[in-house]
Amino acid sequence: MHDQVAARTSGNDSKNMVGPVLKSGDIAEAAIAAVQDDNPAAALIVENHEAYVRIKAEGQCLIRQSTMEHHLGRPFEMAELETVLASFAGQIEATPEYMRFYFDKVF
Amino acid sequence: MQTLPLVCSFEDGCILTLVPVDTGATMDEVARNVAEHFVGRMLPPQPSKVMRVRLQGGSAFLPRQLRVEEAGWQPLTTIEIAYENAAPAANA
Amino acid sequence: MATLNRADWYDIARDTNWTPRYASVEEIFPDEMSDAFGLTVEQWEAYDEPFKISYREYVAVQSKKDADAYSVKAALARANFFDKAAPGWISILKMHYGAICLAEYIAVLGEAKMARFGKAPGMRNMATFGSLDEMRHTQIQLYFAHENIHKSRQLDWGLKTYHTQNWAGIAGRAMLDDVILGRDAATMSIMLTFALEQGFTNLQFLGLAADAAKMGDYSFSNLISSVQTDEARHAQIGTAALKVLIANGKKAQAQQAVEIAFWRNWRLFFSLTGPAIDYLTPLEHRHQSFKEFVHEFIVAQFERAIEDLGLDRPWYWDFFLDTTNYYQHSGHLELWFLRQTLWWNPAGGVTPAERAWLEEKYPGWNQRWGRLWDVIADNVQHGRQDKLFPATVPMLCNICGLSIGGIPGQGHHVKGHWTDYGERRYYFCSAPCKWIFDIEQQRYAGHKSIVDRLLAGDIQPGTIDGTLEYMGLFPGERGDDADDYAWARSALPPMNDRSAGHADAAAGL
Repeated sequence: MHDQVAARTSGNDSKNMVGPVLKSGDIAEAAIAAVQDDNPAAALIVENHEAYVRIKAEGQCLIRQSTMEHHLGRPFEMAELETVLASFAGQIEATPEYMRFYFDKVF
Repeated sequence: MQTLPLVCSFEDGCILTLVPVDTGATMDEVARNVAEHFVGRMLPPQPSKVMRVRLQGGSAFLPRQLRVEEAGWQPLTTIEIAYENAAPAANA
Repeated sequence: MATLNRADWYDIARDTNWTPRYASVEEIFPDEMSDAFGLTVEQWEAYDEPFKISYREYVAVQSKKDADAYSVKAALARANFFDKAAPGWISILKMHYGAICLAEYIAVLGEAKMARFGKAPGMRNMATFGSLDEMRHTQIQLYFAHENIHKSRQLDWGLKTYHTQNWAGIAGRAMLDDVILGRDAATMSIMLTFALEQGFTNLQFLGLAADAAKMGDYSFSNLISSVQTDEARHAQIGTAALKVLIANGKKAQAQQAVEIAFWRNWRLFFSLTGPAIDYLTPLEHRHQSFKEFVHEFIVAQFERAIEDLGLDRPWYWDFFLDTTNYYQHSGHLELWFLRQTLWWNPAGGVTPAERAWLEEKYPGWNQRWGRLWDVIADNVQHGRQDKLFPATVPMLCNICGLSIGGIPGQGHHVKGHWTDYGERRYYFCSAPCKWIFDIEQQRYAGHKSIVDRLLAGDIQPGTIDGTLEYMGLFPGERGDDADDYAWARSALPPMNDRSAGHADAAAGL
């Protein structure tokens, strides 16, 4: 089974967890850090599946381009996240400033 | 005598197999023919038990000496081979 | 030079709904090619693709993905992974390439149909990228497959499978024809991009990527997870289409399209990815069981997506969940018996340590499938070669094309299903496959499985050799046990020491 590499949660893996499944590597690591910055109030779980990491945030998962640049320490276009975005839970909104994963119906 | 292709399940097996049978064969011969494809290949033999034939969905075994041509079957009729003294099928 | 933000120009740039003057809208978008739901172009204008990307961004991103995949391959080219890897893993690679490469090419045609005939500009735009994506998948996977073709002719099946009358090729074509080539753009957007790509490709392309990384096969892991990043984008074509269809009162029809495609894909993916993950991957490199991957990507992720869009769970959902416990096990056993008809070498995968893993992941495995493998192992140990192959053919389903499996050791758990239509009986593996046939019988009538062809005398001579040649399998390509039956020779005490245990076990059930 997978390990949890980061968690900020009461321990409940709710039905409303959304977020990306990323190919492992430096962009995924920056995204893990960015998700913690950009979703300060959300419960978070990060699962390490070696080839990929699954990031889960409750209700909404936001990743900002500026936060990615900060953690990567280099220029980063939001579209570049697609190079490692293998799958995701929830619906997606993709803009040059951020990517957002969300559900329309929250339980 | 002709050959009739039947779809066959054998007790405790997990796949359906196509077995051509002679229309002149009795149900006992059909059972032995079908068993050839299961018993000793993926199921252990149970030589002390009697094998019987019934239709999928049917509750009664067909008479042991009944011939295929008398059974009124069409190609791809589905039959089950079961041991006579075994417990009823799990979800027949 | 400053450039406009994408959001400021994107809608205008992709909105190509011009007013036609030389042909009618109906001629340009005939329903049978565009939209079986019959919505108007105006209704489709509400289509809002969620994963927006410009052509400039697409090219930059894709070139980065390719550079990454090829550079990993090049860096590892001298590592001779193929020569050192466990035989079961090599079999997975052969199975994958043979089943997937040209299926990707069929998806090129499908995406191209949506790019031309989709009534929504956003669908046409995303599907243009989608078609280019699938071309990349076809070519890059063929290229990787052919790297080692001089080491095994079986790798030629990357190009060959779908051009043969191999039973697995027939099964794959039937599914791809039904969900892709034989559907209009709107229906296909649901069946191909929503059901197949958003649901099932994750299992093969991320499940196997996880195992590949543990294997140290970074080249393959990186390749297939790279492919899946394209899928994650263009799979969103269907999400936006479903929203438009549901908003315009087409929920029931859309629901049916999801249910047809989901089931057809489940039938193929359990037989492909299931044995790969639960039996062929070397034990020490297994990340999760197939059932665990299904629960991660299908139950937790895809079912939630269905719900979020306002659709219902498919009517057969409880049955589907139940089959995650047994389809792959009976399927693997049957594939092993049919190994001569495959372009890969299935591993038994049932050494004592592997059985312990199977028992842990699937409680009751030993009582069910373990007893059957005992009989096979005993035949290996006693040199009963003829018992290691079938003497007849399994019945095959006229929808999914696969053999019909149930749970062993439970009387007659496996059941057949059929419909008499026209001059003949059509046979099915399950209630959902029969349901699919009965929805539109004339669409599926005429399908001939290998079993139907044998019975009709289409295969001459109807011998095992004749049938294998008919299926395109020539010496050097036909599968055999991946480990030369080592699992059976080392595994178990002689049969007669344990026959008493069998009787007890049978009584217990």
